[in-house]
Amino acid sequence: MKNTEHTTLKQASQRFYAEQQLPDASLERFEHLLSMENSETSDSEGHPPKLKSSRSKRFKPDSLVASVAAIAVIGSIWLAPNLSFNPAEQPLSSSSTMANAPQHQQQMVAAIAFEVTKNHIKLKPLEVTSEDFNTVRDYFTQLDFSPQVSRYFPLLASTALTMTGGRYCSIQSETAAQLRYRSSPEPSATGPSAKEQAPTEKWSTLYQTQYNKNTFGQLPHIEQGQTPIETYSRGLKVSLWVERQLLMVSVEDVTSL
Amino acid sequence: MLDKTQLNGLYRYGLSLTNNNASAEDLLQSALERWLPRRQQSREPLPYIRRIMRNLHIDLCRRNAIIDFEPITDDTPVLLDTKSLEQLVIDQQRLQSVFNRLNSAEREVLYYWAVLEYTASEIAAELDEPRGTVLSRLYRLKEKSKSLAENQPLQSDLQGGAP
Repeated sequence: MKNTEHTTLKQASQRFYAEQQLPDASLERFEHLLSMENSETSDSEGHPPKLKSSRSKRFKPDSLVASVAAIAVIGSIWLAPNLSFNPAEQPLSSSSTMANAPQHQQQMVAAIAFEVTKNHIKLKPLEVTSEDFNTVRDYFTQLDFSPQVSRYFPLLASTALTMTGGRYCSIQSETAAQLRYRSSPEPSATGPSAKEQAPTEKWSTLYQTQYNKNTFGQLPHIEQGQTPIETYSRGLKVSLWVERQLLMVSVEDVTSL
Repeated sequence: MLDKTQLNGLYRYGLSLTNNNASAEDLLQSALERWLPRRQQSREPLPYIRRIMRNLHIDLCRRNAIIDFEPITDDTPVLLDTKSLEQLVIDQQRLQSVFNRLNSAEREVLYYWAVLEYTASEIAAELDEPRGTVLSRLYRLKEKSKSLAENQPLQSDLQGGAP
């Protein structure tokens, strides 16, 4: 026989909600978010920032940035037609196939990179948590495709990656799967010129969505021996490629490479 | 800016809307991200952030074609006397079943009424909705809770509604 504890609906609700707490890690994350924004957007007296104050770390499509971008576009067209223009923070790598790609294609890559790095930085709560790919894949029942194990993605990281879970997201309004991986860098495996790294966890995110040429443009197909596009946005390395007819976009903290 | 108690309070409000821990956390994060750039505009952050959370949740429901804020029609009964709701007794263990039975709008008014201890008029003012709408939701949640408290299936259950 079950133990029953009768109380009023009001008291039961109060008790229930009083027991609900944010997990410590989430609470810390929120506090960090708040303190970070506070220090970046307010002066010492808590006033809103003036125009000349330090810029927020987050890209904001305000008029100043738009003007700079417009000048850069015009400059690239009139002054150096053979140079690639990339609105992301750094030019595409020489190994990428984007150097001679049309302007709109480069802009699409930059837009994708910008979008996925924004999601990566947020580290939103996972909707499914598991180290087992099949478990995570089975969670995504609302997709028009089935997330796949990428053969190329593990090659990007210098250390082994462990799946932690996934969540729904979107890339350029197309529904996508966001798969999150954890890597723990080994101090001795960072290369001859690398500084000693603290053995902290790094995160990598792999986004997958159905590849549609009309939406995303012509992107390198890994199965055809083409080289993935590599670019940088918000200080993070972004790689894009098509594998098994899925657009795959990976984001990694550049220090983990 | 916001302390732990306030963050937990907002999280609980998110829980009342979503009835899911991860979704509540997610909702709170999205709301904070929207609130931060314009926080100087809001004198009282908590109602402002709750409003953002509510709007985000409604948008999500619309996008997912979930009818969680069903319209209240003129002939919907309203709660005439909150005393009957105050006196409603329930087994604590059945509370989650009650929450599962309620929609977002009903859980939300339950949260305001039970946890924040707002009156119907205060809830209406906070949500910017007619008082009658709030009373209708209170009536519905009372009926659903009462039905579960008495261990009776609801009419919607008999017709194949949500378990």
